[in-house]
Amino acid sequence: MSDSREILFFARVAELAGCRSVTGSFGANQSVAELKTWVLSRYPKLNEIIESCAWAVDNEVVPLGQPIGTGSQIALLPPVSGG
Amino acid sequence: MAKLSRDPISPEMALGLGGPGASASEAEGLGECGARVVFEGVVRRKTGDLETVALEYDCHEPMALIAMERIEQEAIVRFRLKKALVVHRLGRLEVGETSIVSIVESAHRAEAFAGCAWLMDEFKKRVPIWKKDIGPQSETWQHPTQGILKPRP
Repeated sequence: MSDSREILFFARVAELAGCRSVTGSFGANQSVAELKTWVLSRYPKLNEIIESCAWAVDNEVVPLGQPIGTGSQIALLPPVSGG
Repeated sequence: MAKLSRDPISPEMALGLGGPGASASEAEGLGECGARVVFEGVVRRKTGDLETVALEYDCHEPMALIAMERIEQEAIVRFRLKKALVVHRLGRLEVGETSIVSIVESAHRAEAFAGCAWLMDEFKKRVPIWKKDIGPQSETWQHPTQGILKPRP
C-alpha cells in the first residue's frame, strides 16, 4: 500500500533540482533513507549537497532510518542560514 | 510569538505585535520589566572581500514558525525572561534593510543581553530559513556546516 507524497525542496536544493517539489508514491514502511535513494536517482545533481541535508516528515526533522509512516509531507532541508 | 514577513520589518512593528510572553506594555507585565534588549540584523554590503548587492531569503514557513516559537519559549525559561519575540523578513532585501528583529524583556539587563544573544545563536542553527547572497557577478546560497539541522533530542 503506497500513497502519493510531496517532497519539498528549498534554496540550493531547489536550484539544483530545478523545481520546488516532487511527488512520489511511497509506503508507510519505507524509510527516509529509501526516499533519499529515490530522490538522488531522479536528481543526481543533489549529490553535491544531500549529505549535509536534514529530512523532515510533517514538520519534524527525523533520522534517516525512520519509516515515513503516514506522514503526508516531506521536506529536504539544506543547512540553514537565516538571521 | 514569532512572525515571518514579506514586508519591511522594524522594532516598532515587532513591539506592536504583542502576544503571549507578558509584554511590559501589557497591564500585568507593567513594573516587572526593567530591561528590554532589541537586536536588529541588517543586510551588510561587505563581508571580507565579498560584496553583497542584496539577499534573498527562502523559508519552510510552518517549520520556521515552530522552531522560532520553541526557541523563544526556551529562552524565556533559560534566562527567566518576561518576553521573547522574533520577526524575520523573507524575499529580497537590499543592503541596509532589516532581516531580523529579536526583542527580549526581563527584570534586569544581564539576562536580557544574555537571552537575546542566545536566542540569535540558536536561531542561526535551528530555523529553516536560507539566504542567497546576490553579488555584482554571481548569486550563492549560503549553507554553512553549523546550520546542519538535527532531529530533536
